[in-house]
Amino acid sequence: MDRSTEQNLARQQAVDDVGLAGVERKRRSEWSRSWRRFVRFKPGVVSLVFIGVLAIVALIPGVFEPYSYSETNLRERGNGPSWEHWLGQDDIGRDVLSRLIRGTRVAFVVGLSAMTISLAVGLAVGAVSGYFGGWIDAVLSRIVDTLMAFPLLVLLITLSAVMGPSLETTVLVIGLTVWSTYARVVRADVLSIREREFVFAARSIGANDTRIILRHVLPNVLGPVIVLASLAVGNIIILESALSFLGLGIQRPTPSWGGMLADGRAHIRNYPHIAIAPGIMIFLTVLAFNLVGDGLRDAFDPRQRE
Amino acid sequence: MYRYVVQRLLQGIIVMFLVSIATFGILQAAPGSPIDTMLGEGATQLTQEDYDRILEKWGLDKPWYVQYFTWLRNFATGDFGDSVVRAGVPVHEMVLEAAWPTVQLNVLALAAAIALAIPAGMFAAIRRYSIFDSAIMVWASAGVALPNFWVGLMLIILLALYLGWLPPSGPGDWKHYVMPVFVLAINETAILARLMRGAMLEVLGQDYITTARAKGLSEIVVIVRHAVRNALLPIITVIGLRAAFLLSGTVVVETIFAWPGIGRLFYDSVFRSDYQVVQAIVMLFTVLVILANILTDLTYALIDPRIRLK
Repeated sequence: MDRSTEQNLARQQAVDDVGLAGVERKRRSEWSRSWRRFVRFKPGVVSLVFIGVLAIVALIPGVFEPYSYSETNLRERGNGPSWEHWLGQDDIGRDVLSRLIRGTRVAFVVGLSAMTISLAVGLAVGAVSGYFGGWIDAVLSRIVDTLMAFPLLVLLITLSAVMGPSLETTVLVIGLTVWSTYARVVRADVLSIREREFVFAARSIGANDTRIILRHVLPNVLGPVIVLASLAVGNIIILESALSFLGLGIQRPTPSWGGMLADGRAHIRNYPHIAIAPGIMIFLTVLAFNLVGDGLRDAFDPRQRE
Repeated sequence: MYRYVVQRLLQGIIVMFLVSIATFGILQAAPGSPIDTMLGEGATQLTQEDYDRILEKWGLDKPWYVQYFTWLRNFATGDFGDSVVRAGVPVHEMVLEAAWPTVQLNVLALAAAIALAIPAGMFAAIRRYSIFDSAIMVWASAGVALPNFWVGLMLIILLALYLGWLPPSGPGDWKHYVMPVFVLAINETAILARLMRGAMLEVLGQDYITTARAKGLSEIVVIVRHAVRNALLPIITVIGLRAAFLLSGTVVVETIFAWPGIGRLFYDSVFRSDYQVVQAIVMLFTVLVILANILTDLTYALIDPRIRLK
């Protein structure tokens, strides 16, 4: 055996010892790696399960309601929690638990639709602003500045009052006002992506701006945008509850958590139990969406991990 | 630096202009003709002379863009018109009356939030992964998700109605301040504590901290002189940018606790369709936010040489 064969054999032996030869490492896509990082953040996983359960409740609330959510019973108004009515009855005798369950639907409908509107607008404005720069950026940025100068709730109250409060108004006014923050985030990301080599490469082979934005720039901001989406739903649910609580969001008799709190406030001296449960639901739901957002942030960008 | 200040002020003026157009536009869209909106229910009892006087003053018979500039000119000179509900009372008097309670509430809440959050975030970062750190992080996550209006209701039930320790609402001696200030400060405290912890962790990982330790400085000097001073920089910007959120919170808190401030005046005016008052308050709030943002940027440039020299 000559020297080089000997060396090769030794190397082969070493490789066999550590068990690397022949074992091809499983290739994972970026998405599945992100998913594995997300699963490691336990509060995020628990929150995701919680949101899943709520989503089912929102889809088929009738299955879970022990009583009708709208049937009044004046003889039993303001009764506290009991074995028959776990969370008690409200000021006109409706079952609080059933209304809480039905209220999940409003929270999800408003949360998801307003989030979709605001993300679509924010993504479009942010991408165009960051990609083209120049006067387009200057104009769009001033619009974003203008929107951000309004205290959000003050703007929402004014718009809802002028347009007439309803479910549609609530979705629309929230969706069309909260996008400014998302536009800023997307713009900042696009500004840095615009300078990357693959964008120059795409342009050099003749891709036009629309194609570069849609195929090369946007997919690269998808991670941060998904994180934003999760945080946005939590934020929007709080805004919707606040509006409904103030009487300018979802209107009676549709049950919403914020509206139930308003009922609770009106009867706070005599029937304080009405106001307790809806607030806990708002808190838990918002917390869940925020924690999923935190988990996703770590998953997509491990460098940012605190 | 001079260029930066001018540029920043110009941007602010443009945004104020845009905000005024938006505010004017929104209230134009309110149901009813502008003169009805301006006169409210009292329109029928007015003499023709009064009617003509208001028409003339606000240019209501002119096209909308003339109306807008008349409106802007009146606003710029502090004339916000008269309240519809409290007939004949100038809007600026009503707003001035309500200003002091709101200023008190906001200043106290902001001070409380800073006093609690900065040390909390600081210690959480220094004792990273300790029980104290976990507790702060749990509080920071929970504090952001807590609906402040619900916390307000729970406090009223527990501390005022059940235990009777604090008055449930209204202004008065120091006891009346405890619940509103606490509720207004909840979200801010959570956000600032989390940011301070993050900023502190980042600074503690910098080379100049290692250098400071290596040359034998005591840990307290390293933390106070080298770390905290740098960690506070990003926090200062955030405090300025939170002005808008604080004012949003004011509306809710003043409504729950029957606090005679601008937030409650705004809310009541919306329900009474007193649009002159609504318009004035929306403009006042946005101008305050814009000024707070400019001031923040300038302060930041002033204390951070890296920005000033750019």
